[in-house]
Amino acid sequence: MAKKRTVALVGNPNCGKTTVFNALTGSRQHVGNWPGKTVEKKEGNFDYMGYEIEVVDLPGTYSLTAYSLEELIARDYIVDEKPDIVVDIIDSTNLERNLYLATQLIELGTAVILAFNMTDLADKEGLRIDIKKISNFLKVPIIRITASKGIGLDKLKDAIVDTITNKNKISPKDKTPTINYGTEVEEHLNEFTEVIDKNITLPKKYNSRWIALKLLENDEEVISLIKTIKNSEIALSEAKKIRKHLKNIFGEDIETIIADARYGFIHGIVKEAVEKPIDRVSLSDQIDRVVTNRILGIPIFLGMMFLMFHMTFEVAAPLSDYVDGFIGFIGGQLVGLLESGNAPEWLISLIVDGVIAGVGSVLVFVPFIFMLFFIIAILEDSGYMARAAFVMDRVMHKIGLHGKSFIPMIIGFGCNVPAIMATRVLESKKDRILTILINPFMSCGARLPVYILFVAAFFPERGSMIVYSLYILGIIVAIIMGFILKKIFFKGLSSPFVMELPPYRLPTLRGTITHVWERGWLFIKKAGTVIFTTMIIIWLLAALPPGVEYGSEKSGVGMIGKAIAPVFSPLGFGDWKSSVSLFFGFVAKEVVVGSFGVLYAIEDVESPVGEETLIGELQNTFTPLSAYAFLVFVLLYAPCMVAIAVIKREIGWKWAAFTAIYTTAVAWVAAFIVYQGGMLLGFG
Amino acid sequence: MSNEITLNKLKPKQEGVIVRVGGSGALHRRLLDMGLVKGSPIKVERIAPLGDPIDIKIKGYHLSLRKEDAAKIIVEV
Repeated sequence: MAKKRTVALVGNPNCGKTTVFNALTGSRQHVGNWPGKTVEKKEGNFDYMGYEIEVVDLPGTYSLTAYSLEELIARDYIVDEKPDIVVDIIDSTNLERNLYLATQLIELGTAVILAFNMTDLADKEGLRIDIKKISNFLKVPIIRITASKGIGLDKLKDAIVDTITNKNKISPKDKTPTINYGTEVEEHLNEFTEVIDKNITLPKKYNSRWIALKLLENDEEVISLIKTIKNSEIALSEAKKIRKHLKNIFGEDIETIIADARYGFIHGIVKEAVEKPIDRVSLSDQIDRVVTNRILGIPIFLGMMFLMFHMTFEVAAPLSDYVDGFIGFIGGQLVGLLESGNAPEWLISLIVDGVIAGVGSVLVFVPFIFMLFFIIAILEDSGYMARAAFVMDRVMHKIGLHGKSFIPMIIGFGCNVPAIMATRVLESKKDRILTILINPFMSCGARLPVYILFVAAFFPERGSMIVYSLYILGIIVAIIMGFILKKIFFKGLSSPFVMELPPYRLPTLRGTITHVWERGWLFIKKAGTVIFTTMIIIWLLAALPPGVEYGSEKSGVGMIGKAIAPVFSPLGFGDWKSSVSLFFGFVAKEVVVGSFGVLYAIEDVESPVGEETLIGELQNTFTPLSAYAFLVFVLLYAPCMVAIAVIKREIGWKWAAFTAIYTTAVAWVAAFIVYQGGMLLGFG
Repeated sequence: MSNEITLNKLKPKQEGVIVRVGGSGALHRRLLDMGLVKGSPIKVERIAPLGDPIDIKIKGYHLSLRKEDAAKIIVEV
């Protein structure tokens, strides 16, 4: 039996950590959840020299002090779970800042291996790094790798096994501290460490010098950990005393002194061990001269957004048609098979109206979603997303958000579900909540089929104008509501915008595809299960109670629709079929189309004949004005229940319920204004 | 003679050395963690098209900061 060991991969954002993870584990990966958290936990494994090595890919972090949810997960895992080995991936082109995390890991006393990644890029820049020297200073093994080309990975695996078998001879207990904070601080640190050793029984996994240091740094996580231990008040009051004392002496808080010392130590090492050519203007800087240029920055940004949408809808549309045709073909074959097998009529109906229609409505969407995710992944991996946040921060800041909130807003145009998850990059919880609350107004891809159907029925001449106006309306409502909600819930709050602008990099195909697949799969899973179930429920409600005509007023759906229809009368669509569609649209917005299909008893809304019949029925029910009011309502009302479920997971039930209710209220008011205003202006 | 001013006052392409990093709580810690420590050379690369935030170069990489936060950093030019 292979012996099992756990290795955690950590590193700064953009250090190529995921590439290393992929290169190490290949296809042997799985995604789970962190216990009690909603962030995905990526794990994989490989066998090497008789060991089964479980690899955990931690979220990127700059330091062991956590600011965002993802950073907290990385920190907690390293500090509390104690993997057997921590491999810190270092971007060789950005040594000083990357080594800062490394020094913290070393101080923690875990078994650390440093993997200097992207050595090819460092070579290209003319950096000459004396790895042996750095290894001697830091007293940890260092391996040179270029994960994108698969170079050095076996050496890294060797180093992992060597550390397991203790060949690296690094034992955290008996070595002198790597970093010296100067006589004054060291004296107090040693004294304090003794105080802790004498008075407190720490869990074995923590070393007391590290705890002492963290308490002096006023680290919230460590303070709350210590508070659970007996006699903690002795340590805490001692820490307070020393902090005050040192502040008196240095005239600065101890956080500053410690950070200065760490960076000073690193700077010394880099000066000794790295030869740098004279600073040239890098390609990345040259690109930035154009991309974030004062005059060109905004037009380029708008151009990128336009391109993103154009690509999504123009390139994916033919693919979607193929899928559509394929589903139609399969459906036809299946029906033929059932009929020849003398299947009962209700079963054929269930399969055609329920199953095929349900599966079809999901799959037709997949090309759009994947294309959008593909473009977003390229924008993210290339480094442009950070520039977009940089260019847009002023605007986002004005409406009370953060430049980074922009990214989830953009993703929201694809699907609100991954968009809500993408808010995890935000450091402040309040920023996250606000960004999540207004995210549903970003018109997601699922609303598009509803627009397309109604545009075909009522505005064939000005189709793109109408759709565009809805997207813009969504943005405007999001801005207004952001402003209002901020005033109500988070008055006077502003979180710092301290964001790295990583160097531009060519995205790797594998990295991009992994990204797309993870997000796309989430969509399919959501769509596949929830929408499918819904379509079956609709079918049942429309076919029951037994004996009623399918989807008639006397069926289950008819009764539901009739009950809620009066609410929509002032908006111009008070007929029960619209109400039923909206009711089921809460499950997933594109279901609105499928529901109309079921309610008007149209066999296949995707087929040209089916679509034409449906358009005819809609033209009998709506006027162009009430159709537009209906679209406004579809745009703004409660996001699909999957989105609500995700909001609940991310920020709790209260906010999820609040989102469903307030968005619907906003939708009602907006549709009311559109319809009644339009009537007054004579558009009725 | 050297001159101490706040970082937000630096013009694009102007360089300085950090003297003091102010700010409180998370912002202060974050700035320190990102390498804005005493004695580090710092350069303002550019200002965002809408006038805020700014793009600075520190420790060989680019970081963006809002002017209101940059105002808490004192540099020597």
